[in-house]
Amino acid sequence: MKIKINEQEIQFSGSKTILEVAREKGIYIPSLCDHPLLKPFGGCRLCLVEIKGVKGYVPACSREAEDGLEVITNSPVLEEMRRQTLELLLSEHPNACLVCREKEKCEEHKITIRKVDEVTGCIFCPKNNHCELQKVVQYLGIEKIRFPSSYRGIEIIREDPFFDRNYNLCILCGRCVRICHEVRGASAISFVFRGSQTVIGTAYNKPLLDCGCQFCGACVDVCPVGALTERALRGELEAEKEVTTVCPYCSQACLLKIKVREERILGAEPANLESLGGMCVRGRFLIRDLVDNPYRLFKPYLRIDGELRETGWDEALDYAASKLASYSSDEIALILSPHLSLEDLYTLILLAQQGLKTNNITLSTANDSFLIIEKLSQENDFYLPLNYHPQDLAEARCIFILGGDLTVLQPGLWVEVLRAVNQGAKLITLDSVGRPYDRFSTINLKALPESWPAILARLIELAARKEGVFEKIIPPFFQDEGIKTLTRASEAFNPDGFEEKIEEAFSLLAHNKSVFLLGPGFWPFHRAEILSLLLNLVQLFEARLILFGQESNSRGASALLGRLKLWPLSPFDLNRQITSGKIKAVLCFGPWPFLGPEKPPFLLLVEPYRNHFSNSAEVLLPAATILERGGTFVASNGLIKRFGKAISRLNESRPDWWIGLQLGCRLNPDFPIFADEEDILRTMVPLFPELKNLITTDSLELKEVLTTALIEEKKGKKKLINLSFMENFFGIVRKGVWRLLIEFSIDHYRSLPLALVNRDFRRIRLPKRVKLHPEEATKLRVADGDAIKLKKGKQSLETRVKISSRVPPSVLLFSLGLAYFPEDPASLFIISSFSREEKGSLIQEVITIE
Amino acid sequence: MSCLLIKKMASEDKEIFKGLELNQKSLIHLLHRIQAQYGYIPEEVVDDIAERLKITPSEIFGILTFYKAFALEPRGKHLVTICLGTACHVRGGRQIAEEAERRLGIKAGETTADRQFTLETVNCLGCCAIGPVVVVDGVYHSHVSIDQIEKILKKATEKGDEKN
Ligand code: SF4
Ligand code: SF4
Ligand code: SF4
Ligand code: FES
Ligand code: FES
Repeated sequence: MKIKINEQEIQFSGSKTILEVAREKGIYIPSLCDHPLLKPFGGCRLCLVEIKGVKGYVPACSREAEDGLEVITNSPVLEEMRRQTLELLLSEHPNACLVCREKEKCEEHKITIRKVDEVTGCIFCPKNNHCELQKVVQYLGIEKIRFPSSYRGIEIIREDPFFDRNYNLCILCGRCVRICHEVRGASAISFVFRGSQTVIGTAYNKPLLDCGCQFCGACVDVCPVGALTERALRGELEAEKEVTTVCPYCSQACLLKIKVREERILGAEPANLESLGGMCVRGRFLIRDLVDNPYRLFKPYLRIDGELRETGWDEALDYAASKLASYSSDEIALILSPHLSLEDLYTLILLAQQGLKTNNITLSTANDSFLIIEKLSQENDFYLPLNYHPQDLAEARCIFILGGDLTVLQPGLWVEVLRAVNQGAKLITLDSVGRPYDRFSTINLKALPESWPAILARLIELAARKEGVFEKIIPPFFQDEGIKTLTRASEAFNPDGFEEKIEEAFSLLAHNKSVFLLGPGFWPFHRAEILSLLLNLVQLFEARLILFGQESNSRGASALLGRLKLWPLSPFDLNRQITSGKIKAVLCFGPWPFLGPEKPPFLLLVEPYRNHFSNSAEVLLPAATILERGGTFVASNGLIKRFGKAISRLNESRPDWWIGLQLGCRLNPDFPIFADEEDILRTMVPLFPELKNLITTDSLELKEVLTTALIEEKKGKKKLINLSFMENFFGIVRKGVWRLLIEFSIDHYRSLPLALVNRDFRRIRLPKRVKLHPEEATKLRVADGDAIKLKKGKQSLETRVKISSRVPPSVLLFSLGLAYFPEDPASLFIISSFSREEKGSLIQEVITIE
Repeated sequence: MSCLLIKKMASEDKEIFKGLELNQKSLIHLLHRIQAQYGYIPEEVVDDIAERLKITPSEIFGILTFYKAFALEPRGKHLVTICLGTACHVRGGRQIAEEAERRLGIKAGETTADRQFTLETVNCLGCCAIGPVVVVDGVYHSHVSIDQIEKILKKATEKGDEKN
């Protein structure tokens, strides 16, 4: 198709607005409210154009380009209209600098600086030089404003975490409101009041904290002016460079643009539109804290005479190697973190196998879902694609979410789900806690996690009957009564008929193209069982399975271990072997949540941070964070992303692979030598042919993120798993009134809980609070923030209350992540509140509240 | 009104939700009903409505503040609306409003301490020909002059008392 813009003929294809076509061709049409992620709004009226044969003036952002249109964008009438509109707009915006005659020379000579303050000028505006309003003013050459100026005098809102809101600078373009509503589905902000009183605000001006804000920062990033600004950047000078890299926190692996000055990280912004829509608070606001915090380790330490002493690398490595050499191979174990890069993991596996001659390897995530699937599919020889494209969600007509809050754990996926739902896809949720997206869903199945297997099994039963495979996979044990009996426990939570809801869910799944989204937040002891059930469901409904809320390189770590058929020790086995004295030396490269009270005689910690275990370690080696060295991750959708370092400031810290290599060489003279990461990747190619495309020639200066490769998935066939394991499966036996529930969080990097180092983040997540249903709080006569004491036998825990109607009655909801477990009394209390399995069940102790 | 009472109203008062679909389309209708019954939209019901209609409190607040018909604060027993549209303005609407403010001892938009009167100004009521216009409890007074204000206000209280 063709249109003419200002006499110039332009070819284009697909459905696009006139503004988009013009932009592609580099023709500038002033615009302030339009944004590529948002629906046309037509609010600012700056993009008005003339179309031949059409009366009046048309906003280019809202008019679709049709074949043969002839458009004029720059007639004198248009320019004059735009100038008027803009002057009106500026009359309510600080404008002294915008129209200042000395503007050009200002930067250099600062002639006028002292006369202009924040209220009237741009000098102190955080958006100065990046402001879209400045750009439009310059284009239209505005030098004088013909309307009386007014300052709105609205108080600046500084009480929320992470960003300030100064609506005196707001031009009411609505981008923030629209991205929050259309893209994020949070609708935390709206236009409030009307006419000249209109502002952007929340319900009753409450803080964003109380309005369902996800603190994704999307509003900050789309604001064309300086109304919304990141607080951490206040008082910082401009960045000297921006480096594109991958977010190290979760397996969405958002692309980040990291702002650097003097080898210091100032902050991070989304590097592309996909990240802009889908990022979360961790990547947007907590990147700096990963590198700069008081827990960083910069020197190797050795325990000498019972005390940790600073030492040099050679000394520390020699000592560690000589100690390790004194243990036999089955006395040694390695704990790896899925936050490590492929290069690290590979070298450390080599260290285990060739340096220490052991296969005692485990992941700090213990039962990593990706790894369990890897194992189940190898054992059962079936094919289950886990790679996905945005299309897979866009085409889904039914989406089933279970296992945690998708908007918190991996909002990039939530954004795609919302898009599908807005196009008519049906949403089903299975959860114990209310979720912000419950309001978008057709069916909400509410049940405590111990009933989830039964509910999933019931869906399988319905599907298996229909497919005629009922006898094949449903064990005789269930064949008479049906699994229905097991789901009764959940009826109490679902007053309007639980069985009907399950049947309705079944029929949605059976008749529509479906996707299951599974998070990490289900009861950790039954991961394999829940995954087996899901694998059946996915095959029976010919659906897709997507795992969310995993750590940044979970997928890569699982693929690597899976291809080597290294199935990790369970954390309980490891603990048992430590306690029994079978394992004597542990090399720990990540958090170690399930460690019991017994510490191994020799503990070697390799971490960027000091942590709870530092005091028990014999050797402490400072690892560099991923931002200081780059690496390769596999995102949850299967995309392999190789990225460079954001800053070069290692001090004495070193990449984990380098540490592994040094130890390996000291333990085994034939240990392979790697000069750099490139070298490791090259060695990995036989095992990981996908990496071939990612090996560049100038490895040291990786400026862009390389994302050309997708992880290969083994082909196999359809195969259902028999549900006989369900016979022994009864969930949790609860003795008292209270049921402890764990909200699984991934708010950590290696052993560092992010809430520990960022106060604003603590205000959002409230990691130390126990959440209670409002009615329970009334019964106990406690209010938000009140202290309560939980008791169990002789143990007790003092904690504070957060009241939330999302929590079911008689539940105590705690948030818990891997990096929190041992150091926090709450974790120990929670873990010890469950006694070990008995006939497939867990027993929860009686808990009382004082 | 106590929090509990309002909770009760929103969740148990079937009348208020009667015949309405529980989705965003019903919002304006529902707000009108609540306004009619309670004279304003209590903050405490907003969360509850939001949950039922599957929208967010901020979205409701946006709508609530857009329309003049909804009040954020409890209104008085009698609502006095004075037009300040162009036609009424040129015929002395502003002075009439000032007189009403003086007599009631409040500013436009406020409610008297005894909860008897709420005073409001609007921009045009669509009957410019008979301006200046003052509306009291839905009764239109045309061609109003300053000295009539006292009588109009007095009549309102008397009428109200008769009803009781
Ligand atoms: S941070 Fe995100 S969720 Fe919060 S108001 Fe902005 S766009 Fe909405
Ligand atoms: S705060 Fe920024 S994005 Fe939001 S309406 Fe105002 S100018 Fe637009
Ligand atoms: S933690 Fe995950 S969702 Fe959040 S910014 Fe990082 S990669 Fe994106
Ligand atoms: S960009 Fe078209 S009206 Fe604002
Ligand atoms: S100006 Fe008063 S009714 Fe129109």
